[in-house]
Amino acid sequence: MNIAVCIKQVPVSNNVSVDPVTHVLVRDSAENMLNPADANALEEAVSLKERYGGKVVAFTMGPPAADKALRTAAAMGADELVLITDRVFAGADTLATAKALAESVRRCGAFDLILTGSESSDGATGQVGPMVAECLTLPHLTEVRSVEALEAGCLRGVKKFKNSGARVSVRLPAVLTLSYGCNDPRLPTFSSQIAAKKKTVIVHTNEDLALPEDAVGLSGSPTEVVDSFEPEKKKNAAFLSGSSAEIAEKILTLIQEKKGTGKKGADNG
Amino acid sequence: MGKIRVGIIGGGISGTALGYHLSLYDNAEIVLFEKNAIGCGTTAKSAGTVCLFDDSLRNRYWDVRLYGFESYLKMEREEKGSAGFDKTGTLVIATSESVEKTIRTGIALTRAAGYEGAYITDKARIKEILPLIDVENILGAGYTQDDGYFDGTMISNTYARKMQKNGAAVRTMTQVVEIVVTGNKATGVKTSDGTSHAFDYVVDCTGPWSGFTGKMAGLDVPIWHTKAEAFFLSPPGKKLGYVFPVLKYPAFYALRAGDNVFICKSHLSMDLSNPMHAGQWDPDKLPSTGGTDDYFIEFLFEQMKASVPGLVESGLVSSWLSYRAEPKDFLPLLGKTSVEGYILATGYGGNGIIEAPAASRDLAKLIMTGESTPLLEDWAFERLLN
Amino acid sequence: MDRGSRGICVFADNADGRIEPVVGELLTAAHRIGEITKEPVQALLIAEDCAGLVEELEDMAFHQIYAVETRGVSAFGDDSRSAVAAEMLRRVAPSCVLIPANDAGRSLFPRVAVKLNAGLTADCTELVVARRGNGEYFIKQNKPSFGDNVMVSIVHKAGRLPQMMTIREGVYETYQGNSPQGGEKPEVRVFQDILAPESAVSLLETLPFQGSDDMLSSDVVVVAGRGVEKTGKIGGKSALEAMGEFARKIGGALGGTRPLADSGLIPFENQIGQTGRVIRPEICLSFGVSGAIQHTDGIKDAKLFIAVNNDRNAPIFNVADYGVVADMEEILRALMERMERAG
Repeated sequence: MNIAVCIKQVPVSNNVSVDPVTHVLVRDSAENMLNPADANALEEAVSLKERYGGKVVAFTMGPPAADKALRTAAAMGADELVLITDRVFAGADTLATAKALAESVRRCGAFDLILTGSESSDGATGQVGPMVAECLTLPHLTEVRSVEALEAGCLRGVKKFKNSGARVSVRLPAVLTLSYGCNDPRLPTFSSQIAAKKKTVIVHTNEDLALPEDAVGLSGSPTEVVDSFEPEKKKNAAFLSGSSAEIAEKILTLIQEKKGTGKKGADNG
Repeated sequence: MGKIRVGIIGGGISGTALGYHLSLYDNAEIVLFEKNAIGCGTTAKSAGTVCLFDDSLRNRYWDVRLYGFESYLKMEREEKGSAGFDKTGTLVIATSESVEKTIRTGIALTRAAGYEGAYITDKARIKEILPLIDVENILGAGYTQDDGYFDGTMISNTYARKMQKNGAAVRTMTQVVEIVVTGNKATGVKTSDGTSHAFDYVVDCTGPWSGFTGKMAGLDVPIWHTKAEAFFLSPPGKKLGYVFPVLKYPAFYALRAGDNVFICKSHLSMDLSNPMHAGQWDPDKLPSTGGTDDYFIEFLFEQMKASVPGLVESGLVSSWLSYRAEPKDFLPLLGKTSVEGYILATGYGGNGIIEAPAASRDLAKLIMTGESTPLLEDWAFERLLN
Repeated sequence: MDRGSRGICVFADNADGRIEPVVGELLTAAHRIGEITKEPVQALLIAEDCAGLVEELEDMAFHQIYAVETRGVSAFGDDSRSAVAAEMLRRVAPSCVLIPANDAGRSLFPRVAVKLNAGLTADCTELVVARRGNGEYFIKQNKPSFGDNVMVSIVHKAGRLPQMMTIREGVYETYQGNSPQGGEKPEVRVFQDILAPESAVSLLETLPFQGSDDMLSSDVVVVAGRGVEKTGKIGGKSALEAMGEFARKIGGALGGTRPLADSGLIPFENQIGQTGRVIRPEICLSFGVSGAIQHTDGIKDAKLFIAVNNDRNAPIFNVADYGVVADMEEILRALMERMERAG
């Protein structure tokens, strides 16, 4: 069972603001970490490897410093690390990112499974997983909550779908995106962390991937970010008032509104 | 009695403890400015250990330690949890004869103050208290059962509440952007909300930020930063199953955090001439988690292998980096400066939770009555000017 | 540009033989764009059985309805459904495609984007029609980023059509306007020749909705602070038990801050904060949490944060979206009573 895991390095803090004059993003900290849902994908991959054998290869695209996320992956049990990095990849939207990731995965041999987190904690589009699947013409499942069994070339699992669940089966090879919190990711230890630092990182530049220039980076992106600005957010909470019963009613209304638009079964209230 | 107006910059342990002690004087008119939230800066990253003795503060200052400890016990008695006390006891390991000597003195002081304490040489007993450690190469251990660690943020918030109850004002999310100095006298501050405030005294309680704060008053505050790097470990098996005491070795210390173990390099092991350990950095750039250097993992790995082998296979849950503000002699900076009316209550160097209550008690007296104390003289800013 | 040359296409998401309510919201967005660009508003329907759904769409103020039946392919067969959607969009050639940012839209359309080599913007909360120098209309798509801390404006580059975007539910009101063609039925086109390829995904069974009681994966987390220790009984239960029951009833999980774990009231696994776990729920409701940094640091990116605390100056109100200054015992009691009544 060979498993590719696509991971992303994200900022530790989403506390960003926008310079009112230049509209450039100002981050309150330069500290990065492994995307939380990707840790769930890695955990699933490593535990499948422990059950069925094979290897886990972690892929990430980003600047050279993104190798930190790969080191974390190695400390959690990834066997091989691939860093996709090249100036021409910079400014990629989800489509251009997926094309580069998919090409890198394709060049690293045959995989039975490709896993990733269901979304990143910064961009949170959730698009790259299904896009990689399409680039590799593989089926996919998003928001997988548990992998139950592998049998007869198929994987059976439970996924979230519109506030309910579904037990589904997918023919392998396939791409799965794992929900945040679906398992308890193992932690790096002193020794695994130190060993991870010594691990070789395979670097893929566009010389290795040989993607046409109009397919990668900013020029390969059909969309572009043209502006950023502060949302109209209240610094302080809006206070709810009324009798206790009225406040309770308001709280429940707010919760139900946020939970979605009254889907069948979603309202347990 | 005329009012004495005091402006406090910084709402960490230093500022809130001082604000509270000042608020005990009827004629004090106090405004505390905090640019973020109370106790959210380096105070929030403090381990909060206030042990009856250890090597963080020399036995000479034992009354400082005891006053801090008992202030927090009093808080806890008034309202459970208001100082975040976890009574785990403390185990201080004697790795050499000189450490052993310090421990024996500490134990004697502890007992003299009416608390439980023992110097233990029976290694089986030490293993019983903390099964994870290696007892082969140690001489013994000092064990006090009545202490443990507190929560700096909780304490700061409790002090802030108490001072407000006594009539003081606490302005959070309010940054001091200018210190008004007229003819070498600090006379007030201007804040980020565009208001001006006149004071008789302005006190810098900004700890690691003091270099920047001092500049606003035209003062060079000789503060260095040493790195306080810490890890949260998940011990093998994920459950401790016993009370993990505050554990002190000369090079590091540890305490429990739920079922996890918090472990940090001790500040006396920091080398001010090593740019990896000490420098002058911008505390605003400190990330809330992470930020530790790679060397730290290797350092801890070696320490664990040698001293606490039971933690070597721990999971690394998270890490954080904080800055301790220290003058070169590792003692606080208190009291008057060359700028009249500009007072320092900074440089606690990671010992703020231990030292701030006693230091603030004395500093409040100095500000309100003009009377100094031996402690203030010892920790005076002037000592560094010679 | 005369009406009909291109169109504004709405993905007519459906489940269990009904059009999803969010489609009515996107219809509002589509008409607002259409009023400016004079393009027709179109429905893109993909379902195993289209008959009833087409009728439902016919009453919804679309100019055109395009449909393909995908017999034997479940709603999860996006490997197959994406081939259908891409081919439909090639034929319909709209200028933009509005898609619900729900599990269906977020799974299907990334694949469609790859097939069409088109851009797909995620989770828009505001669409603004703008014009290029050559007079061509385009959509400025505003969306939150970094856990809603920043808004970014995204545009599709000139000539990169269709402009595809997913839009968050609840952003637009359901369309209330009249049918645009004076009561006439919209034009319906079922592409019989677009055949859904076999899917490698099959649905085994749908599972009833179960809120996760696991704190890390739950979308809703109720967080108890030190304040609960001092709170009296509610219907014979301790405040903490009542909160746990309330959490279960709204399909969520219960967590607490350090003081509660220290005193053994909650397990350490459910401790939230710097020394405990970091949670990322959609919705967070806190009771008696003061808001000290070491606790709130454990709650990241909650899209809705409601805090109940009896101290109006508690720092928690600096982080919460909504605040309630009240005795939590009373609020909890009222919430429990309201839930009882609702059954």
